[in-house]
Amino acid sequence: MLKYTIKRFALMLLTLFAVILIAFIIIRYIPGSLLDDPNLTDDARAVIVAAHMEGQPLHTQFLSYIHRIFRYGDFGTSRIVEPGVPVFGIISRRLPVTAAINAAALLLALPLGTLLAVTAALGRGKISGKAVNFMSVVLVSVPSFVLATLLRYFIAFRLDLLPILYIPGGGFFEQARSLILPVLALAVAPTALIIRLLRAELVETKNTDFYQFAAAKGLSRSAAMRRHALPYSTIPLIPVIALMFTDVLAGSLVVERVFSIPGMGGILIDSVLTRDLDLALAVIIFFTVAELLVLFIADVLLAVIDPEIKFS
Amino acid sequence: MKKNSQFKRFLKNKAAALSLICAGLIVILSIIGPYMNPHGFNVPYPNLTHMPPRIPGVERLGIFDGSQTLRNRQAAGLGNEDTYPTGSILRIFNHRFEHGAEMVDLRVNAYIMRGAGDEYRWFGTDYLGRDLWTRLWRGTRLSLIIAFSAVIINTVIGVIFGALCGYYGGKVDLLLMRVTEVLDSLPQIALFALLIMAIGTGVLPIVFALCLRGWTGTARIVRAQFLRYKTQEFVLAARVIGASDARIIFRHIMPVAGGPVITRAASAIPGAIFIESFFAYLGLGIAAPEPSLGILMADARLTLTVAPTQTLFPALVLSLLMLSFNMLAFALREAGDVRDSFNK
Repeated sequence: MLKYTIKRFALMLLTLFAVILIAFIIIRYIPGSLLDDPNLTDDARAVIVAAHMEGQPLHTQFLSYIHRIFRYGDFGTSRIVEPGVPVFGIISRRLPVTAAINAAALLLALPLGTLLAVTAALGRGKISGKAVNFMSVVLVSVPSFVLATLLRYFIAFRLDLLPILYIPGGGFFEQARSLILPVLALAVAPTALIIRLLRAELVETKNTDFYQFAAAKGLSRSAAMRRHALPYSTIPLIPVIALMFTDVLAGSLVVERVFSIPGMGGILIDSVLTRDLDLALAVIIFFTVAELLVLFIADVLLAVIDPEIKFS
Repeated sequence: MKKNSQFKRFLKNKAAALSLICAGLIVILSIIGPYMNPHGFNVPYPNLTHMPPRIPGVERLGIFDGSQTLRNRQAAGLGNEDTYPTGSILRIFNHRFEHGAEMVDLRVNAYIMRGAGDEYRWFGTDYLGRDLWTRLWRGTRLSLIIAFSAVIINTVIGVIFGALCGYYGGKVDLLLMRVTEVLDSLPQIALFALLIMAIGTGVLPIVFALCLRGWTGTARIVRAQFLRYKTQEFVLAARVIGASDARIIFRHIMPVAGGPVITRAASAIPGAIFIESFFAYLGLGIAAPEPSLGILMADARLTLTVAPTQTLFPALVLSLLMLSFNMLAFALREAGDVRDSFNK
């Protein structure tokens, strides 16, 4: 187990290195960057050329870039999106809100999805089960940004229940209130996915002997479901649920845009579209690390719960 | 024979039939919709920007009649023929005094107000005065074209890849499966961003991005199917009568093994539509002036509160499209799942 984890971790580092290298080459060498802008003053150009070590061979540039990251935490300086501001500062300022809505969405989706999946499995063939099923299909289908827009229009604007935009300053309560709708919009897709996957597992589990036995010895259907079927059915889904984090992270890109939340999504889009070299590279590295970590955790979890490993 | 019964079960499913009709309707409208009125998708009308929907006939019912609410207008200016031509004001309400001036809210006919009383824009116009009916269906068409071409390309690549792996096995299998594993372990978001930086925005980059690793799932399914069927007697029989490898793969194994591929392709379509609209909404998708469902929603983002129909129509079409394709895919999978039909 430990050996597998170490091997998988090394593989992750290798992938990370490869992606950073490719990203570095693409971003530094595609034409159309700021340096090709004829309106750039000579002074500004000299600063960028010096900072990027233009003219030096590629490996020198790359090693110096890596060196500065690990030695000084220096990811360079933004030139277009927030001119003159260190990239590290921009990211550390924007990361908390993105992390908060992602975490809140997952924390909302897990119990809610589980609850509804149990309802659907218990009510199979009945109205309640069919309703949850239909709802999950609808919610899987409606894209997160469409849902976010609809929530924004109907709940925030027409009913005037919650803020229509993110409120950056102000107290904690006010800020949290303005994040309710974004979190809701973000949580819907994972909830619907959990319902679909877990319901299928639970329905299978209902046919097993141990569940039939638990029901036969007099436990109520819901107690048998909760105590016996649920733990058994959740296990194979753990890696899938870990992988879901990537989808939530991607979803937060659009949801942030809908509600004008100044998070990581905004700088990813802005830096890529304006070719803000250092910022784009750093943000891409950030997303790479996040996604590779998710993949790594999912893989290790899969190995942990594999019954062949567990019973040997 | 198996396929036939799968198809029958599929048609018995009422939800599936309904989704088929819905999807079909959207596809038909996306083909003929842009030609149903004389306004081009990229023809701006500078004096008809942000118009509300106005549909002939339906307007008598009081909906989609080109009316619009204007707030905080000075009561003193209401008599001005230049601003409010005769017949443009439908209702005056919410009389009040603010700082000594009499203010009102108005319900007006936006078309008469702009001096275009005989014009009709069925779904209204956008910020440049472009006809949104035309743009909506043209955008739907482009979204569908992108999604379908990506899924077709992915299915073809996946089938060929999976067939090679499953049929030949051994070193070929080992090598090709490593390729899919590497592709699957790459970070999606970062990869998309890099791709867009490297090759820019547009239809081809988006299709390319969708095809970069969308085929690995199909490849794995096909590989498993081939591993299952290649040792059976009918394959041996074909080989004995001297059929070539290509003939055995495509004429003998593929017809039996193809069911799950179709199911997989059907469920990939809504996924592709979603990813296309997702990136279009972020501004990383196709380039202006061509519309797509995501672009229409992004264009309307800032006018959500004053002109909600600009957002609601593309949102509705996109949701219905995703819903009906998802329902079709689910129904297809259920119809193909024999276990489920025994359970009932």
